[in-house]
Amino acid sequence: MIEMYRYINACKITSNVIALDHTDNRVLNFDMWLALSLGLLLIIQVFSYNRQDTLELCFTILLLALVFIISKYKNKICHKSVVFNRKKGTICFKRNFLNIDRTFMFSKIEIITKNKVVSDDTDTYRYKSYYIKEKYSNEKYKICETNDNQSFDYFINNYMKSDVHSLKKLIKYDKKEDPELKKVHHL
Amino acid sequence: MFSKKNLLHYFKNNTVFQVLRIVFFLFLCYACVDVSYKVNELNKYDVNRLLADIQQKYPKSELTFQNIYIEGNHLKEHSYQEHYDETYFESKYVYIKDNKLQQEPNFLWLLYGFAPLMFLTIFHEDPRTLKVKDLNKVSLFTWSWIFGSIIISLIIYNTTENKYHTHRASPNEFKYETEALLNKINLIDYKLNEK
Repeated sequence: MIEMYRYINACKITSNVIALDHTDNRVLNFDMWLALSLGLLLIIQVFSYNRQDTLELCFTILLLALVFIISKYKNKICHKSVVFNRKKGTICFKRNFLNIDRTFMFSKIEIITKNKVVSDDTDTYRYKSYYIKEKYSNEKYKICETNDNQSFDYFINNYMKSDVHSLKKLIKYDKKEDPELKKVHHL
Repeated sequence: MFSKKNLLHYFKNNTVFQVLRIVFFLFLCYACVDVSYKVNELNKYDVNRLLADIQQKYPKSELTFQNIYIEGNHLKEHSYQEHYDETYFESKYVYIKDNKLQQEPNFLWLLYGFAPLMFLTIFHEDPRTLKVKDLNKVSLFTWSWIFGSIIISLIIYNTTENKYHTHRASPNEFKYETEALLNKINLIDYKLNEK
């Protein structure tokens, strides 16, 4: 069970609330793209500062300020979280990049599962991804991904419908106190 | 407080990325000081008269705010392309230091430091938390690492170093001519009188 919690980036799981937080993973990807696109250009610009014109030096300084500001606010830019509230029966979906901040009633949505296969030369990897879709509308919002043999779908349906048996079996979890995740700490 | 032992300890316990970040910011500070020094130095001389004298030999020379750009008369062309579309003139950047005209250094070779780093980020499991003291424990495919960094340095060499050659003159002629010209110019003649 705890393996699935780690896979879906669960932040906090109690009997009332399940909170998923994808921010850390998104920040890692964002860092890589920033370094590959603007970072390399910035490094080349700074190393050739002594052969630059006034205009080009202005461009370098602007680029430096831009990269500095973006990397300072990257946690805000990449923020994405999904909160399931059992007592209210709501789902809060929040993503800062396209400014999506919506709350759904669980009774009025359905959760779609998609099986995905990534094939390499030697191996094939299978995983499932889950989407929220409102009835009578086409918009989909991605919640999380799991392994092929785990089923977040079944778990969350039982949880939100307050199934007594599955609530008894529920393991409480907190990301800050996970001993496995403490070993890997980022900058 | 900042003893040698303390600094070494701090350096060893930091991550590789942190150390690189510090080096980059030190370079930034150096660049700021350097630019302001050069601008200050240029203000002490009558630069327009100096430029006019250089333009007698190299008419396309220009004055940027931090240094003097000398452009030669020999056309350069790409060496191993069959169609000679890309052409440019030989050039040099010159600035004033210690009452002498000196050639600007090129810092682009510092990019070679990024070649092994790129490979480290590709192959290591968690490059962000890699500390300097653990660098000797990195067990990679050693050969692939070395070969990879050589290949990336070759790519950087190809992009930064120019592969042009002159047609009408030997490659070093421009270098010797400009050096002779710079030695001939006596900067004291151009110094502005301080009131």
